[in-house]
Amino acid sequence: MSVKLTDDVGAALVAAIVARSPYRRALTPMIGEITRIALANNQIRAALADVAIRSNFEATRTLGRRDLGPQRATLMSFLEYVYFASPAFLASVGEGPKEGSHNGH
Amino acid sequence: MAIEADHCDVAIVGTGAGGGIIAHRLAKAGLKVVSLEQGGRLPDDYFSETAPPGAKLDFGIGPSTVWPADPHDSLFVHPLFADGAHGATPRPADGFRHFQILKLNGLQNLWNGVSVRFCEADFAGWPFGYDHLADDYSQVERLITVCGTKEGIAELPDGEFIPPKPLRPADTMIVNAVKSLREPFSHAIPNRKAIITTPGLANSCISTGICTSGCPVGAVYKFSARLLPEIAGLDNYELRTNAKVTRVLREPGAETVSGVEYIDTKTGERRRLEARFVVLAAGAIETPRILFNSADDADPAGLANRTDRVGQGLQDNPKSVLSTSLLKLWGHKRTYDIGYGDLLILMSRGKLPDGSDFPFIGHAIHGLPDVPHYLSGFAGFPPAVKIRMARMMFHSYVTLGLFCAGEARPENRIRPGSTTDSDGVPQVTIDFTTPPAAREQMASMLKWGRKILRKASATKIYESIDNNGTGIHYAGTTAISDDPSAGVVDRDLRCHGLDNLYVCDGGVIPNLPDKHLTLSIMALSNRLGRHLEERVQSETKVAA
Ligand SMILES: Cc1cc2nc3c(=O)[nH]c(=O)nc-3n(C[C@H](O)[C@H](O)[C@H](O)COP(=O)(O)OP(=O)(O)OC[C@H]3O[C@@H](n4cnc5c(N)ncnc54)[C@H](O)[C@@H]3O)c2cc1C
Repeated sequence: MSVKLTDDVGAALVAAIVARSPYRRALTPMIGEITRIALANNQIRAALADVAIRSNFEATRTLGRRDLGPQRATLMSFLEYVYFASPAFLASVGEGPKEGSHNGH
Repeated sequence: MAIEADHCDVAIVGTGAGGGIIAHRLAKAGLKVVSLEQGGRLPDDYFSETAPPGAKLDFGIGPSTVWPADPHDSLFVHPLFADGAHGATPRPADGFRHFQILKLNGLQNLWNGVSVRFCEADFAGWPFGYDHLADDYSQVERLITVCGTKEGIAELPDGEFIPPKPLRPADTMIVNAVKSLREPFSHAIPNRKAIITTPGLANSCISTGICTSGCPVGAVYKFSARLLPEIAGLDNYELRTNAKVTRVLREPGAETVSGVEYIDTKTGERRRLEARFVVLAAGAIETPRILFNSADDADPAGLANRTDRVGQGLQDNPKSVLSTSLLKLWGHKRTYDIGYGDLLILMSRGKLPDGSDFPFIGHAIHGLPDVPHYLSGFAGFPPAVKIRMARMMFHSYVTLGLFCAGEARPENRIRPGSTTDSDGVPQVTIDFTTPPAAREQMASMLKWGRKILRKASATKIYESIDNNGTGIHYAGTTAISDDPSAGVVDRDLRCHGLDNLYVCDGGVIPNLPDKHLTLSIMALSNRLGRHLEERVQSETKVAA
């Protein structure tokens, strides 16, 4: 089941899910970017819509422990992926942004 | 560029590997040439801004990215690949996975650039041998710039090369692993790729570590990056984009064609272009579609199809892919140029249960995992451990992609379909099952790959095999043969029974060897250009 998710509900929901991620410290400063990418992705947008219905998120704006339901794995994998693809993580392995170029150091 | 003509000497359908080389050659020779290209031209900054390689934009996440994903499938998720509403096939979910890029340059927008010559044995079943194409290979290599090294390996003829990029520690480990087998038929040599490795030029390779996401600077050969600029200003050349050819035109039963009909996809208008010669270079699946859709009362099964050969014998290279993290590279920092990612060609022979053997070729890839496909291998570990592992292993990943020959089976074929695309043009259906021998060959390649990776200190190995369209080396559907009952085009790539209709794309290759086919498509395209130049000259002399 998937329904339309308004952008402001989507943004609040992404913020609530990020708050439950083990990578939240690194992800929170990127929340705007993460929200935009999440809502533009077919699978993640559909998963968010399902979670919104299950949790009645539009009315309550709160997310209970069980509300992620079967979408939990997808949403947490998405956030984990973002963490490991983030500039901060890449910088920690010596691969800072260099305009797409990876010549020798 | 010339103003829009309604008549030309040569109409060339498509601007991919087959269409680009011949357009350049014939336009330079002074013939009046029109290239008709179904798609548009990508903006110059498409691969640097709109869809750059890796994680640079939006962490590499697009609308179709999925979780969990098969790491070996990432190559096949790109917005440029045509969907079932626009492509030659409806792309049914469980069918042959046909990849098509309907844009200027075709599949070469995303190709990996590996450019290898076929050897004498690979020409078995052709009406001519290696020597006949050797000069064309050389001319094309100089035109498109291929990096590589001369190795003197009979199964992989040397060509005209510029220096490749230097090998990295991961490459050296693979080279040593292959050497340690002490098999005279196993080789690990610098890759041969159509890339400008010469430093200091506007389109020199900038080392993104991956070519299959498109090159941001045009270092990897494609028509628009190298050859089109040389002919775009000529009065006798015209590139017509958004021109989707639907059929070849002729008076019913005539042995000459008069031109092509196409749809201007911007306006929906149907238009015609008359031509002395028509060259179909729309790809091994689209060209049969055009021939089927050109059926008339005299040839109700389609043009050039009197012996039912059009579409028969579809092939793609069966492939085995293995990825691992090399223990000996754990904790290593990068102090080297990552280059174009896959710096090695691998070659060997696999053994089959019946004792026979077969050749295969492939490449060893060591890129930067900025898009973290490796995460699927970390499942079950707590986040803090994942972070430590990811940091330690970041520069240790290696993937081997190994390909063996296709097999031309009559039942693997393209036939007219029952669906239409969004412009109302009939599509084709693909019947394809993996030949039984291919399964054994893929298993044998996996075995060899495992052996190499383990010798190079592999940890856990992630493996996959496939022969369902993801080799993206489509061949055999308009095969070359002097015998009209065995093929569609003759040794000059002219359709049997039609005086001025030619085909020049992957479809003409009758038996797909293990080796990447595209350099051979381009060499054939150069050769066809020469043939048409000579034909025009001699016909002009006779007329005078
Ligand atoms: C990710 C990837 C990696 C690859 N790596 C390699 C490699 O390393 N080495 C190698 O040898 N090969 C590689 N290939 C394969 C290679 O790209 C193809 O073999 C080659 O491009 C095929 O050339 P072609 O001329 O047959 O078709 P295409 O390149 O597909 O060209 C067909 C052209 O026709 C146009 N067209 C289609 N229909 C119509 C129509 N109705 N009217 C007008 N125009 C039309 C298309 O838009 C396109 O421009 C790779 C492909 C991909 C996708």
